[in-house]
Amino acid sequence: MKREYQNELRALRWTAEGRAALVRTLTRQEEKTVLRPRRALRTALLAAALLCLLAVGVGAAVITLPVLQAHFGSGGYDQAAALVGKSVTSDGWTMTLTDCVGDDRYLILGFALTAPEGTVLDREDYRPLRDRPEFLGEAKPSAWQLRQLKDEDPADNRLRFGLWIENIQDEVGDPGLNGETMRLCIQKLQYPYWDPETEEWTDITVFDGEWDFGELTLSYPDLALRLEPNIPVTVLGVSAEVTYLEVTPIGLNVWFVGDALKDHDSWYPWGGQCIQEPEITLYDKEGSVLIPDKYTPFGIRGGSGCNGNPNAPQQEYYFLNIIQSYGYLLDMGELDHVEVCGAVIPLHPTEEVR
Amino acid sequence: MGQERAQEWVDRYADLLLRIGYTWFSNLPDAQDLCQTVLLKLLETDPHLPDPEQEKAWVIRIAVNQCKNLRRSAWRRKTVALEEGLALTTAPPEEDRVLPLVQALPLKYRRVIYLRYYEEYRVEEIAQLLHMKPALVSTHLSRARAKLKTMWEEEEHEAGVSE
Repeated sequence: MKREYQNELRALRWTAEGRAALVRTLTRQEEKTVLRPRRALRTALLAAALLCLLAVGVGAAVITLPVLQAHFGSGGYDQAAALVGKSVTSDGWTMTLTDCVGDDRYLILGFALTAPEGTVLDREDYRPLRDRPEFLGEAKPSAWQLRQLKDEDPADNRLRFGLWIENIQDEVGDPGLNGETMRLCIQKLQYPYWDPETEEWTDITVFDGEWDFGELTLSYPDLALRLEPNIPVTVLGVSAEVTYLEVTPIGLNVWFVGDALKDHDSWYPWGGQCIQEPEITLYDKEGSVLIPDKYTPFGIRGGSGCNGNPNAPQQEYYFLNIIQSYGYLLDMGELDHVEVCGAVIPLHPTEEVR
Repeated sequence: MGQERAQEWVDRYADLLLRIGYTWFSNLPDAQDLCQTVLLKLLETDPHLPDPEQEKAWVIRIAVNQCKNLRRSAWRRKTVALEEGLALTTAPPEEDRVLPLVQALPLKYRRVIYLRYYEEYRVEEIAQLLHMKPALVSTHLSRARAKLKTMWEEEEHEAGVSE
């Protein structure tokens, strides 16, 4: 029965003219996609639940999840992620960029490293060196972290890494990262070692090569909710307006604007009690509070200042900008509302701000 | 350049994707649409994976997920009609015996039958391809086999009666 099934299904195939028609149609469609504006390309790439498989080493293929899916879990990932699937092999060590997720402010890349068969990579503090990711367009990310992620088998020849890239936007509407082209090269694999003789930390190099990915253009689904509530609130003891709220699978981005913020035009203090203020709370449809995770890279950030660049023609205004991430990817369909300093901002367009 | 790459992907995976689509949707037009959708994604993302088996597994996974997504969306409107009047694909011959039985099974059974007995993946691999627990894959395989056996016997019996 198995043989018959195989033979009967194998007989199902494209004809020569069907193949030719398919090639012509694909070529035309791809050309149209390339020519579309960026926003349309994002929509076209809403390949939300793309997953990947990695074979490792010689011998049986082992199927594993894409790095960011394994790290973040399903839910928000299925909507937000994009498959990449670029591998670079150097002296038998293969680094694969499996998937990515992002919004205008953050880009997160998942990497799977496979060392030659028999290599044991059993530490939790490996750290590859990375060049500064160089973006060729308008976006100029200012910070990045490459972090080892939890591994399924801590003693095999594989490791996972996540690269978080932050693109600080001075103003709402500044260029984002989606669809931008970057150059990326990852070098070496090291871990830190405390040398008791010299009483200094030193780096032990496990692999001394590089994985040059060249130029990468990464596009991912744009699921951001961008709202302009323009509601008055009291923040940091003064009056201001919540002028912009952006919610993406990665987190919240809230902008306050007001002249009274003038005395706050220094960087928003890190850590401590100030991080509790202003109060920004995200609720899901069941009424549960979603707790931000300050330990995730760029978990909770804030900045304040003014746009009074003397070379810029625009009028000065004073702002406070707070970003919260959650350590997992938000399921956009499950979100209900955000409470900002007591003001309730629904995440459904039919509801009004209370 | 675009045409060459399209030709490469079509040569490598068009038939495989057609069979996956047929397994999922049980009709050729939808299978052809799935094929077009996945091949376009491959052209756009242009993945480079170090070994052919890895690449094939990757493509199957994309197709499986695309089947899941597209079944619950208005995806059929998004594909571009291929030229009309052409015999694009072969059709399953009427004298086929096993394929119609498999296609008569519920989707949850025929997809594991396809991956196990056509692509010859192991249970653990199928579990990862379908994002299921291995025990559930085994259960589905076992039930699918039992149903196929019953259907086969009924067909044999009917054939005997009609003779």
